[in-house]
Parts: sequence; C-alpha cells; structure tokens
Amino acid sequence: MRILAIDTATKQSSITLWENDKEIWEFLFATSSKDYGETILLNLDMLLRRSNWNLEDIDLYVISKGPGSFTGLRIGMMVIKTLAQVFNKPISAPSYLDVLAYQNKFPGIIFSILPARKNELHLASYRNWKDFQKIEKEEVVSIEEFLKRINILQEEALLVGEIPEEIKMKLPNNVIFTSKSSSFLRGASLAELGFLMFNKGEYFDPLELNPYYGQKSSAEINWEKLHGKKE
Amino acid sequence: MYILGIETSCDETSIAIVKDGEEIIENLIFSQIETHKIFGGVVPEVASRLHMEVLNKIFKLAMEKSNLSLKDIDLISVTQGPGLVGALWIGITFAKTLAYALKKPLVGVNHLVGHIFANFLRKDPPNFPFISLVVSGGHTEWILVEDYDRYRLLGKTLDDAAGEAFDKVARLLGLGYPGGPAIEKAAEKGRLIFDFPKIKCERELDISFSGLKTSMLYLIKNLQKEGREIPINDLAFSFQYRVIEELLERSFIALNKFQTSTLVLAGGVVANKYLQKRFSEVSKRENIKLFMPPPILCTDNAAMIASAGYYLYNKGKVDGLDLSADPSLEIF
Repeated sequence: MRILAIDTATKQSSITLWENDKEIWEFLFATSSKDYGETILLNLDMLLRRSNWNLEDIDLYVISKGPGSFTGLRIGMMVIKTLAQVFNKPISAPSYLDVLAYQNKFPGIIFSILPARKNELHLASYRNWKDFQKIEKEEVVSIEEFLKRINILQEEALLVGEIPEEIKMKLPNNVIFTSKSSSFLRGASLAELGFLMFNKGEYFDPLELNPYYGQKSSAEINWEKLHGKKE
Repeated sequence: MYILGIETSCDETSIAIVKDGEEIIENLIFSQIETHKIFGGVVPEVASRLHMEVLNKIFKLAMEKSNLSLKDIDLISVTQGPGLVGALWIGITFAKTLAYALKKPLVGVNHLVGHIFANFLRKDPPNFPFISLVVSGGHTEWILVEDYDRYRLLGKTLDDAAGEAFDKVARLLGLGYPGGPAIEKAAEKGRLIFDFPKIKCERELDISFSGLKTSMLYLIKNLQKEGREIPINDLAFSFQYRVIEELLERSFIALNKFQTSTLVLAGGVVANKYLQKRFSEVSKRENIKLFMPPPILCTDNAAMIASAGYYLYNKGKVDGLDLSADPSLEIF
C-alpha cells in the first residue's frame, strides 16, 4: 500500500511517501504561518519527481489533524482533502499528539504535549509498550493543572513534545522527557500510524474531515465572556 | 473552454463553472453571514474554519450539478487577493492542489478585477475603454479600464469603503448587520429631511466617508439630548441619498475627464436599488452606456473570478505552484 502523509501542524512540516516494507521518502522542512501555503505544493512536486512516484499510485492519504497552527492545519489538510477527493481515496487522520506518542516507545504512561494559548497545553495520554493505546483523549489544560496531575502519578511517565521550561524545572523523579529530535512529529511515524488506523477501519471520507483545533477563535472566546455560551 | 472559479476572500465560499468567460454553468455561493452576524462583523478565524468545512463539498456539488467530469475542466481561476489572508489561503491551496492533480493551468485573479468581470458574464459585454466604479464592503474605487489587463486607478476612498460606512451608520441607527440592506430597507419608508454636507477631498475623484459618519453621530446625539424621537427611516434615506449622489457625481467627472461613454458598476453596494435607479436615470440623460450586474453577481461569487481568469489567461497570464495569497494585492 502506498501512502502520502503530510504534517503542517507546527514549524517543522513534513511530506512523506511511504510504502509498507519497501521505501520511504521523507522531506522535513521548516515553515512559518506565512509560507505553509507557498511551499507545500512545490515541496510535494519535488518529492514526487525525486521518488518517481505518481499521485495516481497513492492508495491512502494521511494527515495530522491537529492540534497546532490554525493556518498550518488548514493548508496541509486542504491539500490532502483535495487530492483524496480527486483520486477518490480514503484519508486517515491521527492527531499530532497521537503521532508523538506513537514514535516514542516507553514502558510507562506517555503524555503528549503541545503549547496552546498562554499558560495552557494541548494534552493527551497513551501507553505503547505492547499495543498502542490512547488513555485520555486531547484536551486543553493549564500548566498548573498539568503539574498537579504529574505530581500525584504513581508510575514512570514520559513527556513528549514542546515542553515549556517551567514544566521541565518542576518535574518529579519518576517523570522524564524525550530528546529534542524525538519531540516533533516525524513523517514516517505519521504514515505508519495512519496505516495502522486505516487497517482498523479508522478512516474518513475526504468531504467529512476537518482539523482538530482544540480551541475556539479569540473572537468566540471574547463573545462568550460577554454573552455566555452560544447555542 | 470550461473554467473553474474559486472565491474565498471574505465570508462567502463560492465555486463556479463558466464556459468561455461568459456563460455561467454553475455558480454556487455559501454565505457565512448568519454566523458572523452575532459578532457584528466578519471574524477572520471563524471565516477560515467555515471555508475549510464547505469548500470541497461545494466543489463536489457544482461538478454533480453541471454533469461535467473533472477532465472537462480546462482552467482553474482563484481569487489571490485582496481579502482576509487566512480565508484566501483556503481557496488558493485548493486551487493549486486541483491544478496540480488535474495537470491544468492556474490563474490567480485580483478580487476587484473579478468584480468588474461580473459584467462580462453576458453575450454583449462592455467595450474598452470604460470607467468602472467598484463599490463594496471593502472597496470604493474609480478605475479606467483600457483592456482586459490594463487598469488605471483614478480615485478611491481615503478611509472607509462605502459598504463599511453603511455598516457603521446602520449600527448608529440600531439597524443591525449587514448595514447595506438594512439601510436600504429603512430608507424605502424615509424621505430627505437632512442635507448632509457635500464630501470634499483634495483630489476630485477621491472620496471620504468619515465626515458623513461623524455628522450622523452628532445629529443622533443632539436629537437624544433634546429628548426627541430619532427619525430612523428619514435619516437612513438622507444618508443613502448623500452617499449615492457623491458616487454618481464622481463617476460622471471620470467619464467626462477621460472622454469615455461606458460606465461599469461592480461590487456588493451595486445591489442597492436606489443606487441602480439613480445611475440609470442619469446615464440615460447623459447618453452613457451603463452596465450593472444582476444582484447575485454584485456580491462575492466565483463566476466573476472564472470569467476574469479566462480573459487574463487568454492574455497570457498563468501562475505556478508558488501562487500566494496577497491580502493587499493591487491591480495597478
């Protein structure tokens, strides 16, 4: 099975061509909210030329659905949705936090972390020593709340992702964090996890997939502060 | 030649299929206005999220309704700017991906140029040269159009766009959002009771709405201070009257100055019936050929983008995979 996987959730973006037990082409590149859209198709075109793969040969599209940069998520997902729509193929869409946990084997509990708004984190927890298991799904918690949870843990824990210094300084002895190079999503891991999910029947029709933002827009938050919750 | 048009520059998600630049096969428009209403204006992040949700669905629907297949599309035309940057990127990324997957040429179109081309979606389009007034929620500009790809800016608003001024004055009068249709409706029951001062700018083809807005604010404050009832309908009419007379006056100055006899109106404000009536009356009297798009083509839509893309492509314009959103794209 041939997979095209794209991740544009954070400043480190990637495009990966992946075929199980055969070859992997992965292009990892730095982006910013200004140039996600400018570079993505040029890079995809370059990778397809280098690999001699054709879009017509892709069986499954994979995208990291979020959380992350709002603009980045939309650009990557729009490319994937449109290709899947044109070639009539399914999409599997692990969350960014899923992939972080998937690519770091650990015998205890794993917390995947990505900074959200000020003093807040996107958080999800996993186990992967035997099977890959999601324990708590994506949520947004304050740094304070996260430290509280970590401090009452009775077992070994691994933190993966962009971890604020404030947290690193306050970790108990049973909690460690990964090296920098394992802390951002790797394209091959995204493709592999997407493949596993597809085999379990977890995939989307291109028209029904949308980014997981994890947060409302500032305007909606301010509106709710003034008027109470919508609906 | 079938052109696919894509428009996501503000709060309308639209996909169109146009044949040879003039014949609309499909023009599907999904308006987000109901969502933005509660915020009293367009919220960029909310607009981007909605474009993302619906664009591929609208494309599928347009293809199904047209009975065409993907390989029938010969050209892809997309709004490049001006507009909300995040919203523009949705349409552009979709357009680039589609052009790449289908191996078809891509053209990025200026949104303002698109509005002018709403007048080319007919059998007898305007002849060059002509004066165009583009007047919408984001623009108030007089442009001399000499060819499909030759534009000269003659004058523009120095502050708010006309549509924006309608929104702000509607808020002052408690008439709600969007302000254009709200003021037009109130004005139907109103009459001219207040002569707002004429708008003066240093250059005769520039315009400014801030003074008019301030006059309205003080007028309302004074009436409130005196404990008098606010004649909302009459004030709506008086304001609308002043704005439209000013637009009319400058359009005819431009026509005379450049010795042209064709006037082409474009943009959402052109849907205003009183504006249509006044421009028609004066054009007839002055022997000017007047073009106005039907209301559905005045507001943002992808058919006009497809038409503009067709004519620009025939002039040799074509874009690559590096096409980028430009929120303040100029046409000159």
